[in-house]
Amino acid sequence: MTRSILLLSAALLLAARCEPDPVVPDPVVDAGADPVLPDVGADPIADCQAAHETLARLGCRAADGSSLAYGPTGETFAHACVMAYAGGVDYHAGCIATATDCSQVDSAAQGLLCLEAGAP
Amino acid sequence: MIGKLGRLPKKADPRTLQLARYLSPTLPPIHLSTSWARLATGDPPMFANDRIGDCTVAALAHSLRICSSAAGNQIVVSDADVLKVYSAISGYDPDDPSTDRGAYCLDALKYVRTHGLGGHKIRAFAEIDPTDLRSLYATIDLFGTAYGGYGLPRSAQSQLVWDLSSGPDAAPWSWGGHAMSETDHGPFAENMATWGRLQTATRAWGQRYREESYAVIWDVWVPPAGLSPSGFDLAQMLEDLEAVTR
Repeated sequence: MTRSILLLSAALLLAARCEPDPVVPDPVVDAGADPVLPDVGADPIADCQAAHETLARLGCRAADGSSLAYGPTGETFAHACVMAYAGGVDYHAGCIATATDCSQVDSAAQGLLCLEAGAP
Repeated sequence: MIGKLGRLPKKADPRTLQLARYLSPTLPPIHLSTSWARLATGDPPMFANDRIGDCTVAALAHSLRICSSAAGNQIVVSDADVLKVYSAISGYDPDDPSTDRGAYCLDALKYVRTHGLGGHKIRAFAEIDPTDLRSLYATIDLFGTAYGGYGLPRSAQSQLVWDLSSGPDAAPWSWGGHAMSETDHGPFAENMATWGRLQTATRAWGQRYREESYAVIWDVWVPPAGLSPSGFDLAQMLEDLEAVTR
């Protein structure tokens, strides 16, 4: 999948620092603040929950082999999906929820699966 | 293994191209997850970053390794190649440890675009808003890696997966500045090549500690005949690059 795009296109103590006295730069924008969901007429919370249930039921894996239903710290896809949506990343959760096989999930996340199926 | 750091606070240059200018509305939707790192063979090298604060260059060496492996011919530059660039951009003298004071990400990018790293040049690079997840993920999808500069919290020293925490050790820069190449993204986390491994960091962690981010297009990445990935105006970007570097 990704290849096609290409073609188209105590130890802690040992931790040493380069700068003895780190320079503290300007404050960093904390993008992890409370999300404000865009009003697009969708229900991302419900869709993300449904997508999570689908991914958990199917046992789907990410490209690096990790679970797509639960993150490395136990976060659910439902939560990550809502946070991503707030950050401008739309996983087309409603479409993921309709997947019947893990091979469909990436296409669903891009909205393509539902376009092919004729959904709006 | 925790290595050395070596990234100095962000250096700004108004001439730096902004990726958003070249991402068209028809950009393909981002993938739910992408892993270019899985295409590489062997573990990520250290590139001397266990003993020298050369992370700004080591991160580019990681990027080259991942991007070249995705292109079908993995390139692993030597520690000497990395240190040569580090010396050139920072004044580091291997015979004088006091000169190991770190470097700027932007200087590393500019040097490698002009002079190369182990004989391989960056064809173009462009800055990404470090808070813009969509552009970051699109960059990884389209160009293989994203080059990121972070203000690391001390709390990362004791975490297997880098995640948000609280207290003084959670403060940005409480550990120091570090540069890494993001190679994978998924709904929860990103993987970054550093210190001879892939380090996983949650998305929230990345958004809190990422201070600068760049799309890097290696010479080995550009498809033949200048064919650009769908939705990305590579030709315009290269034209603009020539204009601002004339």
